[in-house]
Amino acid sequence: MSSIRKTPFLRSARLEQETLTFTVVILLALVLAVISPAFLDPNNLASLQTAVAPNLIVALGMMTLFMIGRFDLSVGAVMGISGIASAMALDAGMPVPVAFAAGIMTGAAIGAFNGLLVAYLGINHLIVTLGVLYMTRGVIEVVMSGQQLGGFTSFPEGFSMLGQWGFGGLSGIFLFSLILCIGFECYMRLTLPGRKLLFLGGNPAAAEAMGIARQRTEFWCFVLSGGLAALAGVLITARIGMANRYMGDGLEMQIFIACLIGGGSIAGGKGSYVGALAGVLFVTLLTNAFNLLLVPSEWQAVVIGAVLVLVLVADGIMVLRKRGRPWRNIFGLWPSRMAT
Amino acid sequence: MTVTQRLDDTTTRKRKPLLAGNGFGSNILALALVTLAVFALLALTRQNFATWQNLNSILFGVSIDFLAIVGFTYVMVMREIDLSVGSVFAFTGTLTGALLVGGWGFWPAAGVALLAAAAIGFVNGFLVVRFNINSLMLTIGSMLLVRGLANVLANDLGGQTYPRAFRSLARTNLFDIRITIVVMVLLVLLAWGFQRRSALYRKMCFIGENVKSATVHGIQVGTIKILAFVASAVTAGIAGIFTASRITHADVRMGLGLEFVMVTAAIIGGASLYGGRGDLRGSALGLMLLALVLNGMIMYDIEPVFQQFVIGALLIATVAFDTVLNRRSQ
Repeated sequence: MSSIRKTPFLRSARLEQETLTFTVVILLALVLAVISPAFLDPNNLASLQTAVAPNLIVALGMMTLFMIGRFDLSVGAVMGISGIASAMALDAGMPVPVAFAAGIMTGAAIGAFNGLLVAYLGINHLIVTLGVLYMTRGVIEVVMSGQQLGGFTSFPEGFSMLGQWGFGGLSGIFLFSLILCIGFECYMRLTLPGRKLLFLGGNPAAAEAMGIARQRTEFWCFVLSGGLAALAGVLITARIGMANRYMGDGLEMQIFIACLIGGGSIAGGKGSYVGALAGVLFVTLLTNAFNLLLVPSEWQAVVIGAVLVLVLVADGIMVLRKRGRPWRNIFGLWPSRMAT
Repeated sequence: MTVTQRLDDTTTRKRKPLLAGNGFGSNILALALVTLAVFALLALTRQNFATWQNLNSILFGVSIDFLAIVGFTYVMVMREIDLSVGSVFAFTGTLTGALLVGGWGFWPAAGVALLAAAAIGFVNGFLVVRFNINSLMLTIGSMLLVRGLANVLANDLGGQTYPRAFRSLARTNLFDIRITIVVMVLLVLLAWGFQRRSALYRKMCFIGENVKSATVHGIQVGTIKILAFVASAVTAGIAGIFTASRITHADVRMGLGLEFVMVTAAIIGGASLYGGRGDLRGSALGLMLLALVLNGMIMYDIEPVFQQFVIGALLIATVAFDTVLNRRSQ
């Protein structure tokens, strides 16, 4: 009897990797606070909040897709085009709610296009979303070719308020994204459709046999991802008061890495929204560290690529371990002697 | 009686129609006809198109890109993909240029750069084989990493032009034709023989069709895959050296988005994301077709910024065809 051990809470709640990431984030923050005096500056903290908020909103959509074993690389471009769409609607003299809806609808429509191709036609999701990334960037260039480099800048008061309200010294959109994150987490943990997402990613064939509509779920997850990316785009446009063609450039990779670090797996069936928060905090702090320590932007790309490779290798090793491979079989010298 | 009848039925049903082969454009003849049709359309409707200068520059551009697609196609045959080609292309070219600016000789510089490319390819292949990582994802990581390194080099050079001897490399002529075009023709002929005669190519197709079965039959899957990744990086590197010589100075935009042009061209040319086939002759024709379409867009005064949109749309369309055809054949 005594040999039966109680499962630790972190394991039963599937929060092991999330806890690890949070620990790393706290350590990183402590190190930054010690070595860079500018880190605890109120301005830097405020800019961190505004950097985390849109990333977190986008990461919630991405994490949903990770759970069902898909991902969406078009989010950065969707963010850009929806910000531009709402700015153009405002420019044409439409009221704020209509402009807001225009931005969201653009993103949701692109998400629906992704979902249609991936879920119903069965095309590889990486290729589809990469192609859509290219097409959307192309459309942004065409739309913005008449504008100056700065893009749209003057917005009515009501629209700017969407991004610039605050509460108790915290940025409003930061609070909003946190609330959204908690809401998603509750949905994933406490409701049946939320549990179905993880089930679908963990074993698609079994889930389909149990009567979960795989295609419909995938479709709506892509729409959700597009819609959330658009929401982030519109909010950040309102926050910084500007919509230009560079918004969200390269963001997809950051979000992707954040989700992987935060406990997601490209194989699906894993992940939590709290983990998305941890991953986003990590990536944002890393970028912030580069800026504070004045590292050139090219090296940032090198480090982000290296982190992605490392995370993928770690993910691969964990998958092999789960299949029951002993350590020496994974790191052994002779791959030809490995059992497959 | 009934059994033979049924057998007859299946054989007749399995016979392929003339223009729709095993995969999208796996029939080289059909692809060649389409390319010719586009060529004829452009030549008949646009006066500037069929000039010697324009055709020569299209062919020259295609021949350089073709060098990079050689290894890439054979990686795709094995159901893997190498998205880092564009970055390796830029990195190798810029590294060669940087070493030459630093006073090295051409052969040492090119050798070191190609060794670096081979190392990148080896790491890609090794990680994919050993840890069973999805190559799509892994090579996106190495794409970012290598692109960052290439940009570091390019920024250090700050737009300096390369030495004269290096700049004239791409303009070397053999029998009055650019040397890369001659190399392309030779490689296509070689690939033809390789694909018809070589056991290695059959093994690669087997790996692409069914990895487990190939392993069981004693094919050294890991070794062949790693070699293909190394080959992909090295051929991309050779193309990168020629391109660096052609554009004469360090440029951060070099080879940007090349990998997607290559996926599209390879799939048009008969390769498949689902592995098991791929044809270098088809890839060459695919690149040619893409170059003609892009050139035609310029001829028709379509905004150049629209090119990105067209490449994305073509990528999705070809992969959609690939998927639908694969599903039907299964």
